[in-house]
Amino acid sequence: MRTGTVVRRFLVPGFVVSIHAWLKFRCQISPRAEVEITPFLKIGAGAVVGSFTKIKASDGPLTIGSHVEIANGCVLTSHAKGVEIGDDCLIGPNVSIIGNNYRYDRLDVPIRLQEKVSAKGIRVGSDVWIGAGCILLDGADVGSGSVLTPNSVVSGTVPERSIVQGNPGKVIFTRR
Amino acid sequence: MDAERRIKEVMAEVLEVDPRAIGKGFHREEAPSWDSMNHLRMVSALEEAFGIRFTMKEVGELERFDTIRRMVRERLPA
Repeated sequence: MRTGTVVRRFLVPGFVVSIHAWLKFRCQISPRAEVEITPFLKIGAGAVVGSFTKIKASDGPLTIGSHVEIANGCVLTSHAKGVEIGDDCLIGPNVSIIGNNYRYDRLDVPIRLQEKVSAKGIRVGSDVWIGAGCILLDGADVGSGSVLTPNSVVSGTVPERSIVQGNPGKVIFTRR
Repeated sequence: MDAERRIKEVMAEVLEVDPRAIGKGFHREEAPSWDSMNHLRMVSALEEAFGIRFTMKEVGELERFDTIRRMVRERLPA
């Protein structure tokens, strides 16, 4: 792990991150959240990040729109292709947004040692409600106005205004 | 196949109830499986089965079998 990453993750107190984020982005990050302030991270004004949420933006761009509310216990990590969350989204407790994959095509090398990849990145439109426990994986592209019901797993395209349920997430209704 | 029978089939399939249990007064409180998610799935299934479309306001009103039957019939060609 690089020295800068170690310092960011372990030596910067939560309240310093909260104050820094308020001054830089005008957003509210709980002092109990674990947010890495890196050049890759952009958070819109009025966004709120709850306690015990971890935002890791060491490896690629991670953009959170304005007035996005992220509840407690979420994990957001970005990789090369990035993670982009539009404005006015609601992200429920314990949501995971994981912007990278591991290669697993070699049997002679442990998966953890194979290359980390980010094929498409993750995009979430504006005004999306992501229910508690949802998981968004590399390649997820959620259209604006959609609702992901709790514990849905999404790794593909979700059209605008869809209501999605299940693993794999399927559109059960379209808002109108 | 008449519309009423088809509606019952669709509702029974989505709500996982016996179609014979669906009578004129059958409503949301009678089927424990008729939650908000299954409600939306049922409306989608009805729209697909009959090639019709409800407004968002109407979707919220489809809480009884007789209401569903009336609204579906209103949308079907005479």
